[in-house]
Parts: sequence; structure tokens; C-alpha cells
Amino acid sequence: MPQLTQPSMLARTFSEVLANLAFMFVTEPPPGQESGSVSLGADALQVEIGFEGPSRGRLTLRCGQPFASALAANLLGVDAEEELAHSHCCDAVKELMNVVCGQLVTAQYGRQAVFHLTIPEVRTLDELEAATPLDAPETLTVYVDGHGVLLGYRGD
Amino acid sequence: MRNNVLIVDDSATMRQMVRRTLNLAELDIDQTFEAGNGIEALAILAEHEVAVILLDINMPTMNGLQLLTRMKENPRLNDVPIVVASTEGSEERINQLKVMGAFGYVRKPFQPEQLRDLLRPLLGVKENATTDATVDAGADLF
Repeated sequence: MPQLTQPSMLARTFSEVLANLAFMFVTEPPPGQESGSVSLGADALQVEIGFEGPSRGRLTLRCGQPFASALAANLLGVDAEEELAHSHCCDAVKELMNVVCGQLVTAQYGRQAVFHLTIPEVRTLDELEAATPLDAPETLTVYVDGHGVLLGYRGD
Repeated sequence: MRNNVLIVDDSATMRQMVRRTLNLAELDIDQTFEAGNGIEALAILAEHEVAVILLDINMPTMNGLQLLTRMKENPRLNDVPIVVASTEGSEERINQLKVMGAFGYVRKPFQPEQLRDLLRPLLGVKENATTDATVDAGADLF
């Protein structure tokens, strides 16, 4: 089963894309927050995108609304509290994962490899789903400007 | 011909972000149109002349490669410069875009300067622009 050859590759790609796309940065866990444990709050979002080429698999991102609002706000150049940022939450996380996935497959397989990416799909999770571990063999938790985000990688 | 720009991307957030980048770049643009896929783009192109198209690849309904193909088959549209803005990273796919007639390519995530530098030769700058002279920011002009 093809997996990430370096566990840090996903974290590094995610971090670089966030910084370059949205000027957001991976940070240490907030004080009192154990590394790896994340509370996403109500209406958490989950985005999935598939890739197919020399290898195939799926990337998953799970995040809370505050992260999605902050991401949308940075992309749009507005305040995170503005209605415009809230209305673009789902679209913003989909676009983020589209870019992360494109960059990740190039980082893994090089520029000679041709991949097809699926259209990212996003959905809102209920509390039970949000508390369930990600269904992926490789998962990691990152904090972005204080917001916890879960990432999962599954190679088929 | 009017200096209209068409942004084709299925992400409304990305379209808005590109629109903002174009405004900040002080390019000489009359009107900016938006389309969420190739079909919507063709509908806009049927009614409006555009000077340049910014095109995403990975879109539902009709993707960027399909739109590019359709435009090159259409004598009325085959001269419209197309700048591809995509997460696509493979050399083969980028060469394919070049062969298909794309004017340039910028990979997401891109810096505003990259887009500005690709579009300046096509659109020019506003009369009262305050931006610096063009610098090579890493975008690919085919």
C-alpha cells in the first residue's frame, strides 16, 4: 500500500501552502492543550479529495468553523467576523485541500508524474462524527494560528 | 477591443481573491467576469469580448482542458490569450497546456506579483498606476 514516504511531508506541504496561500502559520498547541487532542466545536467541517496517477488515495481535513472562517477571511482580505468570510467557509477549505493535494503529489512523486485530482467534497459533521477518529492510516494534528486541524492520508 | 478579463474557477473564494489581486495590481481592466466552469465561461464568451482568460483546470461540468480545447476549435475564440492558474504540477500536463495554446501558467498558490507580471503585457497598467516596474516573480510565460 503506497504511503507517505516521510511522515512529515504532509505536515510540511500543508504548512507551506497555508503560508503562501493564506498567510496563516502552523503554531505550537495552545497552552493547556495536549498535542494531538483537538476539540473542533459545533459544525466542524470535513473535506476530502482524491488523487489518481502513479498512485492513488485520499486526503482528508477536519477543522472547526473558527479555522474555516479565518482561512476564508485571509483569502478574501476581510475580517473573520464578516458575513462574507462565514459564507465562504466551505469553499475556502475545499480550495485549500485542492492546492495541498496538488502540491503533495508533486512533492511525493516528482514533476514527471501526472495525477488527476477529484473535486473536493465538504460536509458538516455532527458531534458524534467529529469525535470519531479520522478513517486514515496516517493522521496528524496541526495547530494553525491556534486552531486545531486534523489531517489524514490514505493511499489505496 | 475592451480590456475585459474572465476568471474561470469553480471556487468562488479563489475568483474573489484573483479579482482583488487584479485590482491591487493596477492593471488596465475595463470589466471582470466570473465563471464557475467551462460551460459558464462559454456562455459569457458568447456575449462579451474578453482580452484575457484566467483558467483553473480542475473543475466540474467542463474542466479547464476541455474549455481550452473548445476555444481553440472556435475561430472567434482561438486567439484569446489564456493564462492557466492551477495546482497542476506535472511537466507533461504543463507542456500539454503549452501545446494546446495557453499563453502562460501560474501554479497555485501564487503570489500576486506572479499574476501581475503575466498579465501586464496583455492588459497594460492604469494611467495613474503606482506599482513598480515588472519583476520576474517566477510565473511561466510560454
